[in-house]
Amino acid sequence: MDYSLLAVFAIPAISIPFVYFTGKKSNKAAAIFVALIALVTLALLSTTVPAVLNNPDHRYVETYTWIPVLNSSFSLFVDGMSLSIAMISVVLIIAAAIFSINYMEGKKNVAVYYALLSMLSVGLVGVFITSNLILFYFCWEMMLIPAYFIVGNWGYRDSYKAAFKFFIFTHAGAVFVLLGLGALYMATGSTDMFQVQSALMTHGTDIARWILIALTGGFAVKMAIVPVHMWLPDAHSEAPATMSALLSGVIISAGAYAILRLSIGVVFPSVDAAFGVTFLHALAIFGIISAFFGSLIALVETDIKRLIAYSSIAHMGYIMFGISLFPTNVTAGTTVIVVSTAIAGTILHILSHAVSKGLFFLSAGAIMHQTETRDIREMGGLAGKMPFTTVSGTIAALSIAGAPPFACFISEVLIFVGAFQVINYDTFFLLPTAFMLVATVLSLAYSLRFISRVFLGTAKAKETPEHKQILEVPKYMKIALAIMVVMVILIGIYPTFFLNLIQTVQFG
Amino acid sequence: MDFVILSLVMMVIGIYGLLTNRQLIKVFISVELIAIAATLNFVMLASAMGVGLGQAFLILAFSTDTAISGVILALLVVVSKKYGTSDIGKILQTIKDKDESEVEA
Amino acid sequence: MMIEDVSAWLVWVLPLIASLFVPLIGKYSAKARDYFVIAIASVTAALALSLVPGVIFGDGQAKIATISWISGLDAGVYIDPLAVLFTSLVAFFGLIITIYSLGYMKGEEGLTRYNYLLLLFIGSMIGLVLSDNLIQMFIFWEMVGLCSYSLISFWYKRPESVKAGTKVFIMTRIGDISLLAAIGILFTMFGTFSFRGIIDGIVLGGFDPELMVVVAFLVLGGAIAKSAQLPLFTWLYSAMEAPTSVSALLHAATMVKAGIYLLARFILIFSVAPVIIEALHPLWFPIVAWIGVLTAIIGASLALTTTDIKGVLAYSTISQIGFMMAGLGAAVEGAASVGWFSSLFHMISHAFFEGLGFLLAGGIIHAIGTRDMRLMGGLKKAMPISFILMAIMIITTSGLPPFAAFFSKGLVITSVTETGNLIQTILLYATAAITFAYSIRMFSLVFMGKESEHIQKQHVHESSKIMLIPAMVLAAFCIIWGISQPLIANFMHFELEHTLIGAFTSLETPIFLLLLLPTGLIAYYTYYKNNQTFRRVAAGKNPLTTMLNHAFFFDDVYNSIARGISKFSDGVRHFENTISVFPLKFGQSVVRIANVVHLYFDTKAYNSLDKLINGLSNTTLTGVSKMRKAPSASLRNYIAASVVGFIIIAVLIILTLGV
Repeated sequence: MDYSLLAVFAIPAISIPFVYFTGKKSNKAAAIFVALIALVTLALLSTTVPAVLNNPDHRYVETYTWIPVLNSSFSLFVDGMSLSIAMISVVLIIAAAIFSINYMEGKKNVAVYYALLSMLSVGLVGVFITSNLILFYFCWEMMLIPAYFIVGNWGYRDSYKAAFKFFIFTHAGAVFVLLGLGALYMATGSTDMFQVQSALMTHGTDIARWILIALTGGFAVKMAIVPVHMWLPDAHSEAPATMSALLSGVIISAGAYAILRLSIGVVFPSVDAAFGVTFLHALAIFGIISAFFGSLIALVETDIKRLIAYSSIAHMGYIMFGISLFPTNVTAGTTVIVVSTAIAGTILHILSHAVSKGLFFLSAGAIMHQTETRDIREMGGLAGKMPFTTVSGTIAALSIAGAPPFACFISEVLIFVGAFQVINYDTFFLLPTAFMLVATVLSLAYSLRFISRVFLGTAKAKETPEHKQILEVPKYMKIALAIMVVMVILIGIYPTFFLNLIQTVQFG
Repeated sequence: MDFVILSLVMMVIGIYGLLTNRQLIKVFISVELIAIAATLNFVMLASAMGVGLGQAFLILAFSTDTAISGVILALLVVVSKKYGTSDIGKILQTIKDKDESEVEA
Repeated sequence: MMIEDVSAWLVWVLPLIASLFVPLIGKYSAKARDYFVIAIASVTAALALSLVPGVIFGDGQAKIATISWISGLDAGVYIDPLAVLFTSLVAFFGLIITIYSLGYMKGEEGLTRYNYLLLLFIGSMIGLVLSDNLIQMFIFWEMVGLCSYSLISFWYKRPESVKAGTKVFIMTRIGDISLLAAIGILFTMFGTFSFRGIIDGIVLGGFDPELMVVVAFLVLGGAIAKSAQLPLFTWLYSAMEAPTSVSALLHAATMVKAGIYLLARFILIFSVAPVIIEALHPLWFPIVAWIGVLTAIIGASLALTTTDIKGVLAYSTISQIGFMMAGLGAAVEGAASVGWFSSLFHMISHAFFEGLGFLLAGGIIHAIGTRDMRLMGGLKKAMPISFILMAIMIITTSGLPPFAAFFSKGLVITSVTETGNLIQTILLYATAAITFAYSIRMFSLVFMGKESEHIQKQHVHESSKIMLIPAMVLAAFCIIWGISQPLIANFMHFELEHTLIGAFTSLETPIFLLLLLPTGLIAYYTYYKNNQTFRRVAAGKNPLTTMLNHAFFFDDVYNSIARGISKFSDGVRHFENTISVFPLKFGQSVVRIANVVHLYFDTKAYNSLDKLINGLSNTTLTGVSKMRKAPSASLRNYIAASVVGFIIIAVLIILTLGV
């Protein structure tokens, strides 16, 4: 039997102590080790692509018995959605590792950093490839601990406070998730996602509402939806750049994935229709609030990393809006909902936001590394001094704004076209869609503001000696940025690969 | 039911101790108290359900707990010897002062 | 058929892909890069021309070729007369401007980026007009906006250029979301993005015509933003921060016409079902016509008072596109009415004369170093060729026979007259008169009179040949283009009833010339002869001049909206910063409560408890030590101890087992 998914779990986990020991010797070797392990993981994941595309139920499942005496087993699985997000996460980890070679130079305890990075990748990828609820929760919490230490130890300013806030908030959210998962077990007696889903429809319908609210609330904290977003600006801006990229790109996407997989996939079919529709409407409202809140603050923020952090909140609002466009007009009793245009756009937006935000944070980290300032009022005219970073930063900003031929354009267009399809049978979404369209203009505004303040314009009139010496970023940072730029443009021009995977996803 | 209240009370005492104490060993005792409370909860509920799983979990948790306690106690001894004090606030202050003097130097 | 398919793809794919090579070639040799760009532009123009015979000898219907791209969506080209008309225009102007840029942009830094963006723009614009589905068209629509932003802020070291670029991008984005909404609704109605699919769906029927009207309005929104019409027209003046070659290509000849293309294409699609045209009659067509007319007259009046030479051309463009919109609004029978054709015909002749104007203005700015017309004067002596070419340009702009705009503008006015709307016609005539006035004004201020001091200080020479030759080509087209009216009608497979001779003999021509005469005389006296009374009126402080000088306050409104949003965002951020400390405060208060309890409870009770425990432990210890001292070898002690232990255990067993 094929052990690829187990290997995806096991290989990074086993490598943690080796990474540590390599890191004691050499910074670069550890980073390349981590990148290589991630590459192996990526290869293993891609071997499951044909299975996902060709299987009748479009899933690739591996089941293992765990404790034979108790007859307990757990299964690992991927389908189109989790596979694409997992693959993007691994690419981001590779880029972050390579970026760290130059970024972490001169910092202390770098070996521990790389070990923590490996540990993070285990939890990160694990969330996407498991169908066992307990394992899912385990990986979910496992993402927190290395994140806490990386943000705290190698971050800026009051990093431990920011890390602590991050930990407490997301952990509190996870408690709600645990409540929901526990209730699921109680109602259905199983811990496998698919068994739970079918069992819940038969005997869990009255409690399903509360489970839905608890689960979504917990995941929304991870996704940083207003009003539980308060951990994000501090955590993302005080984290080291590589961690910011991973946090903003992947970890909050994990929240979105969890909502789609667990709340919508497992629990939603069991709630009654009226409550379900109201629930989705509420999600749309929260999405709009987040989108506007994030965009408006990003429009006036002066700290470069906080600006990008608020932009993440705004985009999570878009994704929440996209999730709320889940088709509800299917007749009750159909068990398979193949993904609609809006949901396909949402999943694609999770991917394109991950790569664009990763690129954005890495560029910002590069800029901070070279100019040693984080206030954009002190930057300007960097286009002349750092052309490579300028190009990558501009591509990131334009992608976030939703300009073709970059990634987020095609996903946003799909979401909006899908929105109109939903408006056809549920006119509630007319006003939200109009609001979201206006929000895209706002995201263009803050992206252009970013570009013009940081890259364009003249070098600041002071021309201090430090300013004169601003150089281009070192080699490995360039390689990492180049990887992300390629991903952004690739998804923008030829999203077919991921769309093929996404369109095979079935809910129910 | 009463036993759940017992473990709840133990946990609250443990959390209270965690919040208010500044001595390293007292913090450790509070953490151990919380862990014991959780384990007790498992055992109680499992026996109430008539399953033997609680006792099995108890043995597992205890052995892990013992190992952890050994490691933590060793770390506490090293830390208190290194910084000459057992007070968390004073230790953090020493670290912060050392960091700042390093930055200045 | 084969050649056509290939060239229809290549004509936009080639510039797009070639633009990627510009940075590579530019690294090695600047000259090679320039020649490469001109070569690509020439090949593109040739490819565009190769599409023309197919259309002329075809039947006027569209030919489509597609390849699969994303699942469910195919990329494709849609070759019909409208598309090929625009393609030839864009390709031709692309070539003209690339040649012109050789001279105009000589010595500038960042030329690699400039050429890359030029090729990217040409490819995107041609791709826009040749797209066969809405998503592809929207992609290129946005990319053209992106190129516009990048080229406007080309001189990125100037804060004004950067600000202008940002403003332009954001204002056109507003139109883009309107277009996106239209695309979404169309997809929901017909389940497809391709033009062919939508046309088939319309023919099939079963849709709501009122919904189509909504779609039409949303499309209009997109067109208004992109073509700088009321109320989103103020960005075109700001866009003059771009290099003049860019202004000529993007903001005169091609990009601003994208809105006109959009409307023409949609009217063509709507014409398939007369029921839609019927539904559009009451509201949509009149609004389009009114927007066109109002924009025309506002643009013309603003051109009359601006002091910036590129500003005159910008406002002139806004005004002329207003004419085109009015023509489209007059197309009340869909694509078969003369308004549709006249609008497109005027679009081409406008491209010629406005492009010519920008090329010459570029030369002037290059030579003198300023855009302010008050510092110019008497340039006739120093730049004679530009003088002659500019004379041709203003004669054409004003619509004087027999140059191009006489026929094209005349046809537009004729189409509006034929709809019977008297006020619109009068306004259009008035606009034509003002056009004449501002043309004479610009010409006199720049070229006539004696040489201004600013010019005398510098050594002004004529523009270089490489800048003049494209201008001369355009001027030649200005002169002879009018005659091509029946040829273009044939090309578009359009039944045109108005003939060239008819233009001369219709009633409108004498009215037109009669109107031009007094305005021309006024302008002549004011600016050429420098008559003081008129000058004082023009410079005076009456409400008319205030409105004109502030561009009818549109920009002020937009700026205050932007400032308002900024202030609101500041408030939001303040709010966020205040409430985000709450969780922290909550946690701190819990700790504080615990500490208070600790202080109160433990210290008080602690002592007594402490004493109790201490006392207990002391007694135990002393007892133990006492017991230790006793000789333990004694048997009696052993028995006593075991009896005591047995009693204790018995008591415990009795207590627990309850015997």
